[in-house]
Amino acid sequence: MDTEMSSNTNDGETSAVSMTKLRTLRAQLSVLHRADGSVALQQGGTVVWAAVYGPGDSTASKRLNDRAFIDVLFKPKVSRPANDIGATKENVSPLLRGTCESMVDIRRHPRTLIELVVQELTDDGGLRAVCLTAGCLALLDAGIPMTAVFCGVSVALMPDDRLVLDPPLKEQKMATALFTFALKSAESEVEMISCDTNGRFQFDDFKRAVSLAIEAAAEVFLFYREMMQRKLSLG
Amino acid sequence: MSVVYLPGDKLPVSTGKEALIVGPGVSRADDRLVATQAGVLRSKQQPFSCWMDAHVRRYVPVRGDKVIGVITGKAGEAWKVDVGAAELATVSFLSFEGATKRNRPSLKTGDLIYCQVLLAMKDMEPEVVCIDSEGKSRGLGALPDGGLLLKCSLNLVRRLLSAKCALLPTLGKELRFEITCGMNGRVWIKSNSHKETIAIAQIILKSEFLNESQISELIRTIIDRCRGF
Repeated sequence: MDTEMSSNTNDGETSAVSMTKLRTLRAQLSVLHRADGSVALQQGGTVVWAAVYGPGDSTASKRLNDRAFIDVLFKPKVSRPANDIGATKENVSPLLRGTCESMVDIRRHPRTLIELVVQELTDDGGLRAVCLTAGCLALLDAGIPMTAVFCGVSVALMPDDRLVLDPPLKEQKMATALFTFALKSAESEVEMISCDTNGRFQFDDFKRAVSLAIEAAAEVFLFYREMMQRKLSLG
Repeated sequence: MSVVYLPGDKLPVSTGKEALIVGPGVSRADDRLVATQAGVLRSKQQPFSCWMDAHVRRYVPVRGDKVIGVITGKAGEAWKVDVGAAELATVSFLSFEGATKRNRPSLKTGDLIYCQVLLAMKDMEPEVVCIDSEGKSRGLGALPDGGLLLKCSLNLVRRLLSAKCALLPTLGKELRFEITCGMNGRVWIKSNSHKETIAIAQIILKSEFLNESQISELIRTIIDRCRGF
């Protein structure tokens, strides 16, 4: 469902913004019985599994005296070079770990390990953002204390200055720039907390992408509510 | 349908002048209460306390909980006990009924004990005991041999122990068994035969997401199957 709008920027240049909807989100919670929390998440054609173990015991190398150690393991299906636009261990793990460390109440469980494992099953674009969303759902499923919820949204800047929200792989490959935003929501206010970008872009494009992502994130947080409502209203 | 809150949500509880006890899953930020776990808000009057009823599998020790622990080894004048938390708990040799320096309880690695959490702080390792403040065991202590230990979610155990749940009384009318429920998500069952023990275990695990009427049907189905019908 595409709606195209033209807007005039300050210097008279016309740029078109395509407000595409986020692809369909489907998830199943507690898929893995040995994990404390887990989710199988599908966004459009991209499928990812995430599992959380913790707060549990850790080895001396992963023990911090005043807070929990968050270990994020991203398992790609295909090996890609380190600076690839797609998802690699080098770009997903730090983004996800940094986000989790600010969202999870790590001071409550010192000297413990919270392990988040994200497994790529199918990449049909926006994989890094889907990993962020799956990470949060798995943490919610495990009942790990958090100060806010977070999600990932990806936006692509196309060669004709069009912005595409949550691009499938075909569009992602043709993009000039790809933005992966991590957004948080506390008391219904959505804020961008971190982003990972690839490619060339003007700052104006970046600002447009941020506001597009913030609008789309509201949909993802509504999805979280529906999922948890469904899970917790039984029994 | 009860409202489910997500972490970061402001909770509709007024923080006025009256005493307010903030329980698990809820935290206080200035003058508001905020959820820290996804769950249903529960509250109790006099004194007013509120907490989040979240679905959790991993146990975090809380003082006063009665839990089932597994002895994993010795450490000086105490045993190390696995209660399912991030750290091993300790139970002193003297924390058993009738224990003295010369008369030690005869426990070995792998034994199960039903104990109460004495000390549970985030910066210290937990400590459990098998006696109360008067020195009596009151049901705590080593569990007999020959039972089955189940691992389940913390919510299931709380439900089994609640007065509103009819599962254990209904089951008790059909079968004879011994059961111990640890608040750390462990349930120990012992019955006359392996077949009955397994049937009870299946009923308990499958009842987690069923309501009361579905539970009596589940009990009927599994017991009939166990008896060969």
